[in-house]
Parts: sequence; structure tokens; C-alpha cells
Amino acid sequence: MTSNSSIAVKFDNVFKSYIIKGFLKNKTTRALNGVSFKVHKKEIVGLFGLNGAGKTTIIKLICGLLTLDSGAVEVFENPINLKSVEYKKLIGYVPELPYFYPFSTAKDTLNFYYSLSSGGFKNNEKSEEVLNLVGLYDRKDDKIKNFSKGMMQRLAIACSLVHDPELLVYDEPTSGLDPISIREIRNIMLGLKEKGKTVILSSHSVSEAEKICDRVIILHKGEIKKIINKEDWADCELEKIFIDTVAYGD
Amino acid sequence: MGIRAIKSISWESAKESLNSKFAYLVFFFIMILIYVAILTGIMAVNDEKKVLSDFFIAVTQISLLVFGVFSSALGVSQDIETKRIYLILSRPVKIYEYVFGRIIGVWLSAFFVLFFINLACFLVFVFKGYFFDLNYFYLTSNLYFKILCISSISMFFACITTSSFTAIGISVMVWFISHFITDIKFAFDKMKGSVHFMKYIIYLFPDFSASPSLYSNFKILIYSFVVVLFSSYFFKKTEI
Ligand SMILES: Nc1ncnc2c1ncn2[C@@H]1O[C@H](COP(=O)(O)OP(=O)(O)OP(=O)(O)O)[C@@H](O)[C@H]1O
Ligand SMILES: [Mg+2]
Repeated sequence: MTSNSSIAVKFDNVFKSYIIKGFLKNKTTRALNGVSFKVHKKEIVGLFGLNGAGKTTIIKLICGLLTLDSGAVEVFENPINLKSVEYKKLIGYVPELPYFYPFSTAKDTLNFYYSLSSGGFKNNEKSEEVLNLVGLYDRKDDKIKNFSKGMMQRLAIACSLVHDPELLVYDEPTSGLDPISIREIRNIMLGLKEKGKTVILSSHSVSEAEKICDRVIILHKGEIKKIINKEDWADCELEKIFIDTVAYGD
Repeated sequence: MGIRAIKSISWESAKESLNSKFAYLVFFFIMILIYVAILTGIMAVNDEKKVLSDFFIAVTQISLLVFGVFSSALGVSQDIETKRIYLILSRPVKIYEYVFGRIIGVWLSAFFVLFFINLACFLVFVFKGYFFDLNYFYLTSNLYFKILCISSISMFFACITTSSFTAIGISVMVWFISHFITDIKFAFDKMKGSVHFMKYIIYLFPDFSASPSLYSNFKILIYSFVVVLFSSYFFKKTEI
């Protein structure tokens, strides 16, 4: 399923609108307006943009959670549509606001998601291994309802890693976390890159992107305004590029 | 194939509905049971056994109806509201596997609830010194088929409206109408003119009014299966 090609994700002229059902008339909002980009394997790519720029929409399309209006999305050369699900074994997803069943324990939750990816099997060792990685090992038998926001976020990251996927798609993985947790999660992502995984993350934090991303995609109102390589931003310049692009780029 | 994914989801879904609602429901049921058993003892009614078993069946029916309808409507709509459905569907899980997993989980947990309620009734009978006849089991197992059906209907409306409130409301209405299907059909047969076509609408409802038999239960089972199929078809169409 993973091919020899060096491309992990490919967007080709993708259009996406949402239909907002009204009482008499439906309204549509355009979320993506002809988006094309490629993500290479073993890269960390950041999606940047103001609120409502379309970051989450791109991420959901990669995970096969939305249908697109036109264009094409490929993940490891598998064309994405609602029918194909096998490629999802290769994806680990952290949503914007992760939610887990509150009366279940951390370990049971990971076992459940592992079983969905593996076709019904459990793997206690793997669950414990990823809990250890995110620093929740000693809370593994606690009910999730007792977890703090940061712990939920860590659990979501553990959940995205439990089936050992090739591509990680993180929607604001560090929002609402304390500085130490942010650093730990950053190190987890760098560790993943070292293991040869591909990471796509959306973020609002320029300093975070500077520290870990190989490339940054700047989105504005559903369009890609700029794609910047690591070499092209010297210290502290990314913020300026970003603000110039979204504020004066029209 | 999908059996494994369905198994994982249904197990999880059964655990969830038992975890949160089951304990209270069974506890409440047993309290009513004991209360009524004491009451009939004091009042010394004629044919106490029949009064008790009729009453127990009525309460079993209400408890299971509430349990089935709520579990399946809330299961789906909460997954959508909390966006947990995204986490599940970002795994190699097809929509139909999710929908079937959810409903089978409800069926399993309803079975557990029925089992414990029957056990409690059995103990009350034994305690009162009555012989517990198998007819009681027969009646409650027919009831179970109706619960399978009404929880599927509840799931169907949860899938197309994504609102638990609507799903629960409609299911309860369908439950009552379905108990009068024979009468309603009879009434429509008497009518003439333009309302006559409305007769066919009634065929969309399951038939709970027929006296229970293997055949009628089989029909209800097929009906439920078709409803779940339609649920997953429409769920695919709704943008979550
Ligand atoms: N479920 C939805 N229904 C209708 N419109 C939506 C929906 N989700 C997103 N949109 C619209 O699509 C556009 C892009 O939204 P998206 O969630 O992708 O933004 P984002 O970049 O993730 O923003 P944020 O930084 O706030 O998370 C916005 O204009 C938004 O209003
Ligand atoms: Mg977002």
C-alpha cells in the first residue's frame, strides 16, 4: 500500500465547500479554493493560517472524513474517496478537540482504537508503550473523565501512534498545553521524523513551526499563498513572512 | 471483511451503554419489583401471581423501551456532537460497519438488561413461593424482538437527523402506532375516496399488533435489518 514514490500526500486543485442547511434556503461556504501541494515522505510540514483559513478542512480530507467537490487527494498514491478505507491503516490522526469515552480507561481506549486499525486484535504491550511515550503510563488504568485537557491531548497523540502509522496528521496538537508539554510533544514529533514517519500539523504558533517544520504552507481564505522551505527563513523571519502574506497579500 | 470491525465497535458500544445507564435502570426496576410484591402481599389480591406477572411484564416493557431507544439514539448523536466519530472513521472502518457495530452493541446490552430483569422477577416469584412458568420467558423474548426493532428505528432517525431528541420522539410515536397496525389497517379498509392511498403508508411501520409467533418475530427481525441498512445508507449521505 505504501509505494516507492517519495510523495506521501498530494492535493491536486482541490475545491471544497460546506453546505449550511437553513430553514428555507441552504447556504454554501467555500473552504478550499483550488488547493494544490505535495508532502514528501519523512517530512514535517506545517499548515499555517488564520482562523477559518481551511487547515482543518485539509486535514479532514486527508483522513477521508469529508467529500471533496472537485480535484483529487492522494495519500501514498491511494486516491481518497469515501469508499476507500484500507489506506487509513497508515494514518494517525489527532483532531482539533479530541474526545474519548469518559468512563473508559486510557489503556482500554487505546486497545479499542488499536483493534479498529488492526482488524479486531488487542495489543496491551503496544498500548503501554505509547502511553509511556506520552508520559501517561502511571495513569493507564484511570478513567478518562478524570483527565485534564493536556492529558487528553497526550492521550490523543498516543492514540494516533498505537497502530504504528506512516503518516501523522495533527490538528493543533499543542493548543492549550503548558510549555513543558509543548516541548515534549515537539520532541515526540521530531522522534517520529527520525523513525522515517511523515508529519503534517496545523498550528498557530510560529515559534513552534520554526523549531520543527521542514516546510510551511501558508493558507489564507482557502487558498495557498506561499510554501516556504526551512532554508528560506532565518531566525524570527517566519513570523514576518506570515504576517506580510496574510495581512497584505491580497 | 467487516466482521472484526463490527465486533470491536459493538463490544465497545455495549460496554458504554451498560456502563452509564444499565445499573440505574436495573436498580430502579428491582426497587419497583420489591415494592409491588410487598404491596400485593398486604392487599391480598385475588390471583396474585397473575397480577404480579402482568405487572412485571409491563414494567419490563417500559424499561427496555426506554433503554433501547435512548441508547441507540444517544450513541450515534453523541458521537457526532463530540466529534468522536471522526476518530473512529479515521480508522479503516466503513460507515456500515460503524452503524451495524453501534446497533448490535445496543441489542447486546438490551439482552443483558432483559436477562437481569428476568432474573429479578424469577427471584421474586421463587421468594413468594410461586411456580415460575416458562410462558413468562416466552412473552419477554417476544418483547425482545420488538426492542430490536424499535432501537433500529431510533438509530435510523438519529442517523438522518443527527438529533437524539427527534430520534427518541419519533421512535416512541412509532412504538405506539405499531401496536395498533391491525386496527388502523381495518379502519383504512372501511374508508373510501382520496384518503385510501394513505393506507400504504401504514405498511412502512413494523407490525407489533399481531399475536407473537415465530413468523411475526422473523418478520420483525428482517424489518430491523432493513432499517439498519437504510440507516447506514443515509448516514453516508449526511455530512457529519
Ligand atoms: N462543518 C462545517 N460547516 C460549515 N462550514 C464549515 C464547517 N467546517 C468549516 N467550515 C468553514 O470552512 C472554512 C474553513 O474552516 P476550517 O475549519 O478548515 O478552518 P481552520 O483553518 O481549521 O480554522 P481554525 O484555525 O479556527 O481551526 C471556514 O470558513 C468555516 O466557516
Ligand atoms: Mg481548525
